[in-house]
Amino acid sequence: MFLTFAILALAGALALLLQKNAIEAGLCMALSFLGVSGLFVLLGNPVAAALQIIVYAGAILILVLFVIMLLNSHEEEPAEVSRPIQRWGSVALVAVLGLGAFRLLNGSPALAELAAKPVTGASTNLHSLGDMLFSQHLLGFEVAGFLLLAAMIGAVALVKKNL
Amino acid sequence: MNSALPTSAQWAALMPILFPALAAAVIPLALLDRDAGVQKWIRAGVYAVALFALGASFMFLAELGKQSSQPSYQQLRLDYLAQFTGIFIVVAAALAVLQSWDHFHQEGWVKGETISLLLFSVSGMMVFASTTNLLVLFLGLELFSIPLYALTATLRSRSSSSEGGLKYFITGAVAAACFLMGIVILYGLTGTLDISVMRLQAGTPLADPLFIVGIGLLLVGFLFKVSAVPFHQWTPDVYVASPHPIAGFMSVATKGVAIVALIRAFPGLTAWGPVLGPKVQGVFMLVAVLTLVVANLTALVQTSAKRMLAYSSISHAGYLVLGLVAGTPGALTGMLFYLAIYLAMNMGAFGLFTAFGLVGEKDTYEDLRGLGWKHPLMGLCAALILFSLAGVPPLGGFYGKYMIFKELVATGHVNLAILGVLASLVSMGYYLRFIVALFLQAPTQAQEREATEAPVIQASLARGTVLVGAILVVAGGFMQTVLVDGFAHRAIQGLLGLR
Repeated sequence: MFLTFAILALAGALALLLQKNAIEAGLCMALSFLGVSGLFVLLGNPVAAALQIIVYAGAILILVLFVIMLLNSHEEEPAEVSRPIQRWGSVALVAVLGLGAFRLLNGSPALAELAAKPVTGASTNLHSLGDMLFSQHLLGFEVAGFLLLAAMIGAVALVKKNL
Repeated sequence: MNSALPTSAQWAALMPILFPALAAAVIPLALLDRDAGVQKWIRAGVYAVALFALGASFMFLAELGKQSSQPSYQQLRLDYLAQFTGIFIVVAAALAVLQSWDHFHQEGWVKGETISLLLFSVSGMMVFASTTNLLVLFLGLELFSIPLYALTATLRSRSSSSEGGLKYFITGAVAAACFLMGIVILYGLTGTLDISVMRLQAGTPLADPLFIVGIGLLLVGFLFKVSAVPFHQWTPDVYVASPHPIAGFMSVATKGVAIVALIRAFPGLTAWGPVLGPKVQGVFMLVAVLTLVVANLTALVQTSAKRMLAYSSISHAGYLVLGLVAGTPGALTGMLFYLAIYLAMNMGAFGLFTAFGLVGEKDTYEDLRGLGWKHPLMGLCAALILFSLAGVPPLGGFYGKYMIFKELVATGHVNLAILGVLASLVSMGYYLRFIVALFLQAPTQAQEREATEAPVIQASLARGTVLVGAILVVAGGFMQTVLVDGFAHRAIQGLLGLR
């Protein structure tokens, strides 16, 4: 199960990067989100999985796709041809980073200890999430509210035609 | 479940942050009226509201300091260090608001949303500076960064402006992603989000490679905001793209809060264990050396005075990180003093452009020619501020550096102290060039003609702020004991005592 969803998420993300058509890239992104939400279910957090699908795949992504279609700019822009040295350099960088991450995850005793621990705690439900959000993390919740307001005002200020 | 309203003591911790945030939320509503006759008054009203909110926040923080109370609410802890930082941010923002009044009158009026975004940024910085909880820290980081991205691109008539804004946004997003990844790793390994608890908690794998990577990713986020080399490339472009008051505010306040957050997260490096402590110290050393060398040498070859000031602000980040290398209470106190003087110096230096009426792309040394004689008072202030930036005694900038270098020598980092002194000598070169342009170079004939034809520029408020900066710089030189013993020392003592 884990492998299926992980591969789905990774393949979606990779296809998103390699895809040149903006709309197809958006659809690949939805695929990747589906994989991630599957991982959330496996982690015992169906709330996050539902939010991932409803908010990310359902709302944000569809909105982005609409904007792309409305702008009608799905013709492929001629990308700059990357020089071979850049290509080999990026391949080498990915290899080094991947190897480093692999060795890090294998060589970390603390992580092994965590993995050996038995799983505790019930799965998250909407009720406990709401409880926590409005008691323990009330401050963060409010700050996030201000953050969204600030981002909205900033976006409007940047694109408004009539100053 | 604890769903009760905050008690009055808890409100006290929230008030200084709520004042600017509420003003920021109200201001856009005032801008709905499009009538040309009314708009003039609305503008004045917006500025009055902004200054009132900042003033209220200032008075509140000052009163808290007087009563020596340190209120807290949930993850927010308004201790002496947070109060010091709050006053620091509010003063920087008030100076920026005053300068922007003149700046926008010169460069063409843009939207009042600018002020609203600035105030959001102020409240975000206060949240960022008063918590050790990584989640709230991240939210504060975003709350002050996102308005700054938009502020950079305020002047849409210039193409470089949106370029700078986009550059800042993309690099900032990468840094924020690193920061968040670091938080995730640390939370996964320790099960707590509080970085001060994390360190003391039994069973924390301080020497684990994954833990070290997590700390490293956190450092990337912090050092990006400090704009230390090698995370500095955005700085000159962004400062040049944004209006002068905003550039001044970014250079002072962003750097200030990031340094304070670093002080909070890594107060004494010994507490991080025998493996991690020296590693973090090594990173600080490397970053400080790179920053001092790269920034000072690059600043020498700039033709734009504003770019030079951007590189100079990077180099000041280097001196501040040197204080973290020493890490003693004396060095941390010195850093806070340095920050206070740096506020006066940089708000003054960026304000000079507005005070001289140099808006738009007129920010090269050529444009500065002979201006020192035309505005003698501003010329004098400019000389004081620039000499202080270079660290000439007996001005404030000298004592800031002196306190940090003294502690470096005391902790055995003599080489770094010598490098710091050499870097300040090099910096003398580019600051002198600014002064030479102001006083020793006669304006060209074309500039003379332009000056006689141009209308009288409105810059009284900006000149006032530059004057305040210069006075603070001189006062910092002669009365540093008041500032150090009164505020900075107490802030650091409180921080280290709490732990």
